[in-house]
Amino acid sequence: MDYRLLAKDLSPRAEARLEVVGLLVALACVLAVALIAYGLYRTGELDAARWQIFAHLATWKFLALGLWNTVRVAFADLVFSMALGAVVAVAQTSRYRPFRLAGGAYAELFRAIPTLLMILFCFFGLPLLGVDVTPFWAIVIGSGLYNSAALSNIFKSGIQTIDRGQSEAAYSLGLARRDVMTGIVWPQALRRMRPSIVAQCVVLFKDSSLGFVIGYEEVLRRSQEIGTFTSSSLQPYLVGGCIYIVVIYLLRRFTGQGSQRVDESAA
Amino acid sequence: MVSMEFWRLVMPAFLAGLQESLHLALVATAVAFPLGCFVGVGRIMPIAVVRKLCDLYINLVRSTPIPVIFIFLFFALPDVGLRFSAFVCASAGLGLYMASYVAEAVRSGINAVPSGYIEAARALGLDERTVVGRILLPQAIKAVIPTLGNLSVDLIKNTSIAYTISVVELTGTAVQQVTMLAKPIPIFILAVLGYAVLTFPTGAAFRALERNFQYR
Repeated sequence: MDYRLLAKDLSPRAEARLEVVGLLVALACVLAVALIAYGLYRTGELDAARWQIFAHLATWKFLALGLWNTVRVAFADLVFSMALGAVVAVAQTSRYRPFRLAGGAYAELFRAIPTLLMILFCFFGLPLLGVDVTPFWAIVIGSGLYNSAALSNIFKSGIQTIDRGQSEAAYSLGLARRDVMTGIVWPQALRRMRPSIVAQCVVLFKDSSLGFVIGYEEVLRRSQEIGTFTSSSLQPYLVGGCIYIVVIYLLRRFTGQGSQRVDESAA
Repeated sequence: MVSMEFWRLVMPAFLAGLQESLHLALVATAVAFPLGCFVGVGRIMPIAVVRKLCDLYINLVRSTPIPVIFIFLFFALPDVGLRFSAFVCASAGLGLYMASYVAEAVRSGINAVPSGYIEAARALGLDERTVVGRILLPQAIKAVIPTLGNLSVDLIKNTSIAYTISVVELTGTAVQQVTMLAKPIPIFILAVLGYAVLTFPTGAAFRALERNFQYR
């Protein structure tokens, strides 16, 4: 079902009506943009002085290092989540009931806890229990616990979609269970679940922006610092936000999620 | 290890936090679902401008982390004279963010209806309103309910991010209590339970709704 079908065989009058509506909407957009631009102009936000900080290379270096921090923490988070998620998925698809139960309980529990709450627990709670945690590790662990649970479910459902005949054939050839899982089932499951895994990577990357709250020096925090320096907020946050948007958009665009659609979690 | 006194100290604050989280979630839902349906349907409209706009909205907002939205609304907009309370920024921001996901879900629900149904309905001579209202939408809604259920749970969990702009909801309450009382484990368990109290009925309601729609 696509839009062309909805508009099939319209009468000339209906076509004309749609054309007029389209024109009106376009006009409204132009008006809205003009209004915003005028508002910015009136409040002096478009003055060159307000943007001058971004003419310095040092500012961009500062932000680039922030982006590097974001990427760094997201990558550590990814490795942690993938590894833990795989372990949990193995437990969930195990032959032994206790393992299955433990894996299922883990996935259910940590998917139900908000990521930020988990990060704050790691950052404020763990030191009180005698474990010192840097903001970096608070993000990796806090967000990793959620993402590993989500990934384990993705892995598990990937494994379950692999046809039984695959593993039965492998067993009948005399392969051991371990070889069947690592050589036959998992590779196919991973390939099949690639879009979902990529979608989870987007979630994971977005999570790194939560580091703002606990003073982790990622892009958003650095934007704030630039804002403190120039005593303006709009411009640095606009630039910082755009950096996030561009990176995440590219991540989604160039990792093969494009044509295959998946239900991306909104966390 | 935890005395009666502790609970008496903590519970009122927690109930207030829970209420604030619930309010946030309700207002955000009231923004997200209508706007999402609007944008989702807009993406299959036979008007190119509307389609492009809705496409832009979905791609742009889905690529923005929630803290960026909150912080922009709360800290950057006052620069141009638009000052809103933290609660308004958080609920509106979360609503705008979730609307992009709802839109995507609605669109894919409509896409999930096989085009043969529409062609058959047209071949029977039904007018466009009946085709959309009686054939297309009922099936699209049915296809989209599980996704909407997941999104609602995500929305409730995402209310915790309102902490970034210092709305004192469950997460904010938990952090306050931990810094005051230095008993992290029971307090965080309480917060997790608070979120569970909100998410479980939501999930259950959507599953019941899903069963309701299994006609034939």
